Amino acid sequence: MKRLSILISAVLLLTGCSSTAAPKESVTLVAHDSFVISDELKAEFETTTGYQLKIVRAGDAGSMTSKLVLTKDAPIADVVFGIDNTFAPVAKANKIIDGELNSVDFADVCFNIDTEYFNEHNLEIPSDWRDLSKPKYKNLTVIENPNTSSTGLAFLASTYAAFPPATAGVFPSAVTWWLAFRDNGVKVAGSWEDAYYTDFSGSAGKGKYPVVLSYSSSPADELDSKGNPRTQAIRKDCFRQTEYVGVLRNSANSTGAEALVKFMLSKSFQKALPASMYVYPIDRSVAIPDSWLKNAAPAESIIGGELDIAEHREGWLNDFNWVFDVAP
Amino acid sequence: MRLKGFLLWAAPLAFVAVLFYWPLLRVLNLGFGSHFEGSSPTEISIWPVLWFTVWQAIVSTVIALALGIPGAYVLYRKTFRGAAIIRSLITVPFMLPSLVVAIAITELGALIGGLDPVVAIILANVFANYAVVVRTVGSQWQTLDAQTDEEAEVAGAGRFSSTFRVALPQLRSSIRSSSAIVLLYCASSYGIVLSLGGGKVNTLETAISISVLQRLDLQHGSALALLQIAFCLAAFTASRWGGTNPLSFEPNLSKATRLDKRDSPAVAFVIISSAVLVFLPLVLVLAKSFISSVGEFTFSNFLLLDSRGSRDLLNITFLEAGFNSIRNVVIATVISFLVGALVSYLLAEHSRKHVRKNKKTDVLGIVLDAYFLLPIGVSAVVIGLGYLITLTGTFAWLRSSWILVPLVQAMLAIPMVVRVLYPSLLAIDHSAREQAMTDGARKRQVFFYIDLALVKPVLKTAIAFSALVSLGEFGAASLLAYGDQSTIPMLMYQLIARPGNKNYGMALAVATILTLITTLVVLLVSREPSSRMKPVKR
Repeated sequence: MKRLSILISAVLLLTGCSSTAAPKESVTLVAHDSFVISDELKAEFETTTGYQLKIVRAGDAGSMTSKLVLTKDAPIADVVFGIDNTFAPVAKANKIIDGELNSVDFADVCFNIDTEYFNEHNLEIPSDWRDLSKPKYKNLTVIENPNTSSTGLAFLASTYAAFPPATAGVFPSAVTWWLAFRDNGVKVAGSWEDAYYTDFSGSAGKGKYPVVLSYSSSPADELDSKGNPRTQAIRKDCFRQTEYVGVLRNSANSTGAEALVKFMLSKSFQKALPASMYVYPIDRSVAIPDSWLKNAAPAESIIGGELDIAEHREGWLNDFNWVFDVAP
Repeated sequence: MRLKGFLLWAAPLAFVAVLFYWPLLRVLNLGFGSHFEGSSPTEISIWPVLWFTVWQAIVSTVIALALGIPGAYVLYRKTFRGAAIIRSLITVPFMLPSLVVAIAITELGALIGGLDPVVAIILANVFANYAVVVRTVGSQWQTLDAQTDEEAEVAGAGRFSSTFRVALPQLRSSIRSSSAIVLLYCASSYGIVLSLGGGKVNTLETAISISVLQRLDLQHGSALALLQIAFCLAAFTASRWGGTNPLSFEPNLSKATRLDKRDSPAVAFVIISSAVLVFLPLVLVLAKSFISSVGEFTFSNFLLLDSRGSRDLLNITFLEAGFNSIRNVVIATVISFLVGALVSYLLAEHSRKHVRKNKKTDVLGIVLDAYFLLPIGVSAVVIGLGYLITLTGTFAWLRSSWILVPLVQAMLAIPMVVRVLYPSLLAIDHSAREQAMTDGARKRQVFFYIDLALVKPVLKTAIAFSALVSLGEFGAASLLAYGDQSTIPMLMYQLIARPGNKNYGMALAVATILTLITTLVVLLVSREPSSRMKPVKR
């Protein structure tokens, strides 16, 4: 009995001590799992504004948006970062944002090539991803499943911008291209991490596929011992993913929230973006690293910016699932 | 007396009502009552998902029975040197966190160049649930009279046929109840399907997560959740049909006989199947964690645990997550043990009264038992969302507080405590209690001096089990623990979902540590001196 009472009082002590700390006014940021902020930047925000910054990571961009919609009457944070142009329509339609969504950064979804493999096999590096359905690139490509990956969804959407729209009674030409792409032996991975780190031959996993659907910035992280890139991106007709920050409606601390939004658009936060999250700052006046300019420049041309993704997402996914006959 | 009995019941009932039924109802209500803009209704029919959930569970259960029944015979009906340690070790996979199970099966598959996701899921289910069959069936088998077997053999039946014709019919109730439990675990495992399925196959549990979180289709998610509840209740009712069978740790081998030559096929079968399916995966995890990417012996995977992985992927280090996990385990274990013990005691009291009244089926008892069991059969995603929706206003602080995770884990561990304690309380010899009552002992005295003293060895099993449930729990924590509150299984999932040598090496190192902790705990609680024989200390 005595031991039990010691145990209970220990537990009470344990639970007690964390609830006693009197918090100074805090502002809570909800972000996706890939969000990274350095301790220095966090401290900079806290000292300049006087607010304590709390960070809540709520899954990938899609599930984060869903959670925010479901909790919109009593939001789990004051500010949201990481809703992108694929999910922005959902956020807008459900009125979870107070005011506007502000662009913070962007990244271009492009195919990456393992140049070593292409040189060894005397293969011509394609200049257009549409060529990946040609027989000479058979069994070389891995992409992400658009049902479970935002990268995959972004590319799927862009194929509908890349080919002429359907006329009545005829297959959309995008679907015709997907059928050829499928028959050319494309592998569909569950997530970007699986595709890039396991299946792609040009990265850590040394997989079997020398072409992967990734980002124009990815080659910056794949340098050989001499500092030369081992991979390169096909920078024509990529899809641009823009990430936004916004104040959540019904936020408990809207003044603090505004301050945080302003901070994320400031030069010091923008400057850290390439190194911390592998994205380009939206503020063009901010310098990006030299190695990025050399090896990981943004796309030369982008497509799909005008697509209404929320409207068509379901139809596109159904086309994709029909082509690959996979259940999401 | 009435009032006091009611108050005793009210506490655990309210605990689970607030932490489970209320949020669950809120989610179902929202799911069937509203539509969200921009949600993309899931077009994929419910039936393929239900079908896959059910058939993979049935196939896994049948394989577990086919391997487990001979195991029960050899390990519980027969005695030989080393039987005790094997009995303990086969329990380790059952108590391992589901993500460690996934890693172990991935390593097993790597030996033969990779496994199909469906095969991997089934193997993982069998690996984790083999012990349930062996222990449950074994516990009943050891009580059977050996005489019938002997008579059958004298009459000319071979050992194989005597076992099949004579013993199996008598083992019906334990086979039925272990099948139901295995079925339930196989149908509701989240971590295993998530990490081994690779997004290509879905069970009800992962389909709920996709339709709610990815597609904002709460209606579809709620429909799937209702199906899951129905399945869980059906499996539970089936398990209770022939009475309860304890997940016993106290073998009574008085009727066991020594192995003889004619047992050799059975022994060979059990040795081979348990070696390949149970021990090999565990050994592979342990061995691989000490091998570097170039094939040399190394401790480097363990030294990395103070880092945040390559590219600082993790929010916190494993040491920090270890603190969170230990804190959660302590709180969850204390709560689940206290509540679970109270529930077991009340259930046992209730069913004794019932037996005295001589009625046939104890409907109220079964309903009460199911009330506490249901939380483990319902999707963690649904429970987690329930909190996000329910905890508003005055309770909003709780939603983002770290205390929520241990509370949920306590609730998920209560059924484990009840499964261990309740049958043991029922099995207490009646005469001692009645004698004491006749001698004028009060109810409380009977409880402390007789009940408690007699079930003491089982108590530590209950405590150990609930601690391991909390340590390995992944689904609820992954929805409710944010940022610096991550637990060890959450960090493991982040690492195995992002391959790369360094990250996977760290995951293996953690898997090794968790395997060793689990083994130690299981060995500690299953030491087999016949503690019931010792004089009771007062």
